[in-house]
Amino acid sequence: MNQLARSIHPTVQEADICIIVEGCYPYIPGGVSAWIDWLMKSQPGTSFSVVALWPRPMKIKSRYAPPPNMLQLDHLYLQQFGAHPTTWGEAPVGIEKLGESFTRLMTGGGAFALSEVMEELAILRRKYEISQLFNSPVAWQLAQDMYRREMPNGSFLHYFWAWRALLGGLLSVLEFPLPRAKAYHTISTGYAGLFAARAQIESGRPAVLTEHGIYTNERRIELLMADWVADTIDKGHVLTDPRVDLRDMWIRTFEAYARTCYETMTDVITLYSDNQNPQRLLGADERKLKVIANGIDVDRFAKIAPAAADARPTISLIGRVVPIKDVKTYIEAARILKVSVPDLRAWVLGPTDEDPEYYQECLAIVSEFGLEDTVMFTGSVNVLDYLGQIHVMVLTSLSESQPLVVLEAGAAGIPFVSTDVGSCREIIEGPVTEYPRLGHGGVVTHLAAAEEIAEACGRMLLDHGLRRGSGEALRSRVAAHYTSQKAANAYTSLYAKVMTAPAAKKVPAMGA
Amino acid sequence: MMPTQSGHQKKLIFGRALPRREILASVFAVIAEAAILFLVVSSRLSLQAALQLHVVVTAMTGVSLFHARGASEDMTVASLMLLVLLVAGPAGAVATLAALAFVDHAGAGPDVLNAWYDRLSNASDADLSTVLTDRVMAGRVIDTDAATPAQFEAVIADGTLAERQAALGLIARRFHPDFAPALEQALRSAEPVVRVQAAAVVARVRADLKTRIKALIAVGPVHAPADSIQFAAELVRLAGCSLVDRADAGLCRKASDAMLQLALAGKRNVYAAAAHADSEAALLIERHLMASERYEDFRSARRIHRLTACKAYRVRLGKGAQMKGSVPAS
Repeated sequence: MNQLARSIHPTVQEADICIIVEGCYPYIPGGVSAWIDWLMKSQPGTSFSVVALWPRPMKIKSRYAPPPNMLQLDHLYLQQFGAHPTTWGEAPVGIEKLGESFTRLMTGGGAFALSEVMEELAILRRKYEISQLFNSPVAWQLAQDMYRREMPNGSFLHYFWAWRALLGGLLSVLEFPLPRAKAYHTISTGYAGLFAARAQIESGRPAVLTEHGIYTNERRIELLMADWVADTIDKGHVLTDPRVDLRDMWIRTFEAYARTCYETMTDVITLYSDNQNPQRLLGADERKLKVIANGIDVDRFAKIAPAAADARPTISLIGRVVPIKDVKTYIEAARILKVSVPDLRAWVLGPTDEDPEYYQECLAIVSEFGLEDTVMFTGSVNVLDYLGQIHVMVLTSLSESQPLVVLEAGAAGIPFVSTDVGSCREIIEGPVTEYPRLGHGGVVTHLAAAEEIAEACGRMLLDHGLRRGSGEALRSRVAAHYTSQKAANAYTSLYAKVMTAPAAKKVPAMGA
Repeated sequence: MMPTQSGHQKKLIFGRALPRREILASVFAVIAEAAILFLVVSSRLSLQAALQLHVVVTAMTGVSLFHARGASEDMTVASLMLLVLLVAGPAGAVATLAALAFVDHAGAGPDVLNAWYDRLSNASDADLSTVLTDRVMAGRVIDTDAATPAQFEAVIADGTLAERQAALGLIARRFHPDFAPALEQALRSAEPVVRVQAAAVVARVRADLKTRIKALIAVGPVHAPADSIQFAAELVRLAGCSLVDRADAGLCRKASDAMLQLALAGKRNVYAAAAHADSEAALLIERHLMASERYEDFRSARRIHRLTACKAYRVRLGKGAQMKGSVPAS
């Protein structure tokens, strides 16, 4: 332990693993929250603490009962940093150096840049309250200096408020008391990843990352499309203009934080291999990259008998009726498919109340096409009651990560026609490393391609041999690679490795 | 850009009005103090009475300077004047009058500063010339020396990952139906990152298009034929966009037909619309007239559009009703 470690949580019992998660657990159900709940329950011999990062306190109830092996839940609020200065005399010596360190961390990132900032803050902390510094005239000077270095052509006003948000988040992460743990596990890059990086540097204990989606990429997409980010430099349609504007600044900062995270983690895990490319592009070491896919309880679905060949030809989409699932393309595909399969039945199994307007539009299209006897919306149902009547499953989503519905259908031996999103191709066609090859479990199509989807479903419905073969291939693949037990075992091994690893040496700071 | 004093602010500062109240008060003080001095020198007034009168003159000057003034007004000059007058008497009155000549250029008044702060905090809109000046000074204007932007389709096919992502961001923020092919190409990209972003763009653009279509249909047929034709043209363009649902495309065509029907109801409307139409709107007008079997109007519209499009003529309708004021007379 070194001088940086003065903020380590003094009272809490040390957990085996400290999970760091941003914006979901334990308040937002499903997705990553459900995964964290599953992870802790799947490791009963390991104790956990959780640091949940939120913008500010929220009045919502926890959706998950803490498992017995969870010792502690801490909340880290990102947008509440800063205290009113009581007294503030002359600017602290070395404040310019801190500004330069912030710039290096927020523009380039890396473990070295982070440790440098931590060193500078540790020196300042001996005499000053950092939270007061953030609201003092010194911070104003810091903002101006960083503006001149980072975004000299853009609007200072816009820069200032972005700077407040970004630096406030960064300082919240660096000043929060660090829970004691044998190892740290972050579920994304961003601020959570930065906190894990800090934990690794400060405590010397290993830290690992599991990325479900690629956080930096999601932020980049959001920021590139966002209307709330002002364009203060007129770049027209030129894509290579070197002048840094607000949008570039935000993106650059999140990329820098991701770089810092990747560099400090001992293991960088994704759910499927396609997600490793963006990690490589941001400097993740090839030797750290791993895939641990999510799994399901195969036994729940294995007993379901396949739909009879002479039963009414049935395809089904399981999911919420919302635009991101592109249900309209599914309806269009059903219209095309009905020409070759006149007695087609196309179910949509899933809640319809999330976006009532979109649901009404879907109904209107069904009515316009005269498909009332073909396309049926069931609302929320128990899918186990329906799987035995479905010949082909369909997924028309525009975006997915690793959809469990593909695994569930696969476990029931139902072939899948899916758009090329998330890990669907890997699940349906098998990873490139698969040996022996198990064959295709269905067809992967382009996005928003109704004709392709209809054609693939038609082949599956009309060719019983192909359908059965594909269903069996998918069943075998799910049983081999995508079981809950396999995923749990992978994390048991990983935790055993990192919890017993010797403490790492501190990354030396510049000039230290 | 850091806050600096722009041309607009300078104009406001140097254009500040003369402090009229201070001038009048100062002139009054000079005359009154001169009169007291004269009476003292000519031995018509004792020194004690002169001092009492001086206090009265100072008080009256003070009242004239501060009466009915808002708390937010700048009273620095008035306060200094009163102090100098009280202490220095007649000499002070002369000095304050002389000093007023310099006060006008001493700095910005509170109104000017308020206006400046308002603009800095984006609480008020600056005039266009100030905005442009600021942008030029800060280097925020478009770089005219930059290479011509590449076509989106070429960027999606051959650009770097960063360029492709930036292009998709631009497509999302400034969508035009002509960008749809580039977007569809991105949806089929071999690079998963590009596909994911393209899908996000599609989801957003579809929602935006739906909102725009609803807004256009809600406008309905407007009175000015030229506006109706523009809206109808946009609806037709949206109906042809591959990202618009079939149902919405049908609504677009229906609304567009209704708008055209009303906008081109009489010959006079046809001539007015044709005179204002760009090439896209002209084509729309001609198609509508052909479909309605109004061949004579069709020929007239085509002739008028050609005449006005070459900018060599202006078209008049009836008495002095100039249809295209900016077109030079033949």
